[in-house]
Amino acid sequence: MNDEKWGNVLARAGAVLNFGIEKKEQIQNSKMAKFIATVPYLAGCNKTLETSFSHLMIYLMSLDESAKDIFFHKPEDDRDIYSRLFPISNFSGGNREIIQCCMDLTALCMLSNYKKDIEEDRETGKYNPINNNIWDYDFLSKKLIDNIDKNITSEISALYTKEDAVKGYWGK
Amino acid sequence: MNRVVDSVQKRIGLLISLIGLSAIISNIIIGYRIGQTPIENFGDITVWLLFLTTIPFIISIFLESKIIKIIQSVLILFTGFMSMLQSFDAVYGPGLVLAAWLLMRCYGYFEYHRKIKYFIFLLFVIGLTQISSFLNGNELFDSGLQMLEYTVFIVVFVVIIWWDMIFEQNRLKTEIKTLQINYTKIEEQLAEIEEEHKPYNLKAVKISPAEERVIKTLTIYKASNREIAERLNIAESTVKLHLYNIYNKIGVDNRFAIIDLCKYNYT
Repeated sequence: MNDEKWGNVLARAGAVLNFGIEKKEQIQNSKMAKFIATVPYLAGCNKTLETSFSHLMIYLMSLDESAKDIFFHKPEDDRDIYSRLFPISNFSGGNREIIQCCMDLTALCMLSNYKKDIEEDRETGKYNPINNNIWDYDFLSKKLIDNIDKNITSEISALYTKEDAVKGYWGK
Repeated sequence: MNRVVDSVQKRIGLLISLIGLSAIISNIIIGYRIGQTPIENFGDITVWLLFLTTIPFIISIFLESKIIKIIQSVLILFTGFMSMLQSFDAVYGPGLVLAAWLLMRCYGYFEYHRKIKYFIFLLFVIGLTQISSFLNGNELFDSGLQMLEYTVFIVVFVVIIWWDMIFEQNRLKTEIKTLQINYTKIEEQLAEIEEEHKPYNLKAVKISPAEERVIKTLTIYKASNREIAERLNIAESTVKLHLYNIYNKIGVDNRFAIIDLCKYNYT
């Protein structure tokens, strides 16, 4: 996905969600937002624009005050690390290895975000699978990194790396 | 000098002018050696003819035109034919005719109806050689035939030596024609693209200055209502009203249609 396409997808999302200048710039500079919108293009999926736009919209809505609780991690998401990512995992066609690698990077970012928020979630009482000793961060992150190392391509790493993911900046 | 002799016509003009002038000088010297004064020599019709023939070639060094080219070719050809008629077994005639043929080929006089023109050329060469031979006391197709054979030999010799060059020239001509056709097509496509890339005429649909500011901000930033309001420092409800009016005036039903229509207005 080139800058023009990214600008176009972001502009449409911004118009729907009525972004102001500051919010638009914040999303424009968000590595995760661009990465999520780019996965269908990287994998060569069918209906790239539709998939890119809908995944970006879901991601942006999950950050919005009025909707983010809908996308919070729930106990039923404990069974599978990709469970919470289901709304942004719908691809038609495309290279499965590239899609898997991108989803591993996204999952690693989400997992690292849980680890980063341990204290805050404990204080606020928000459900966190690492806090509840359901998920072992070291074991899961190692497994994800091993998978990423096997499949990562130069095109993926030009957009998003495992180093970006372990920082755990889900909303940035 | 380079500026002056920058084409075949000018170069040929310079060459023949120099030869013509040197022939005049050598005529005067020869005349002097046999006891003629330069004034008597200038009275000689041959010197005057030579001088008159040289003048168009001198002009052709400085003036490039189709007529000058025709005069150059015809004068050389005419001189060649006259020499052939005068003396069928001298090399002057065939040499000059060959030179005229090459020059006419270079000027592109054989581009069309080439075969007919070559045939007429050949008829003149054969006819003049035979007439000259006959006038000099020989039977038809007698001594003149040998001269004709010699001429054919020279022509074939030249063609063999230059065959590759001629072949390459024809290939290049075909390529140039193809390129010219492609160039014309590209020019047409470019004209079409330029036509497509014309800015949308907002005045024609009576867009107000305030509405145009909204369109400009929308088109440049692909902005939401809130972003347009922030950038123009107006209320979001005003932006909505402007957009409603803009949609009606232009005849579209969404902001991205406006962005698409006006994308060449602000580049």
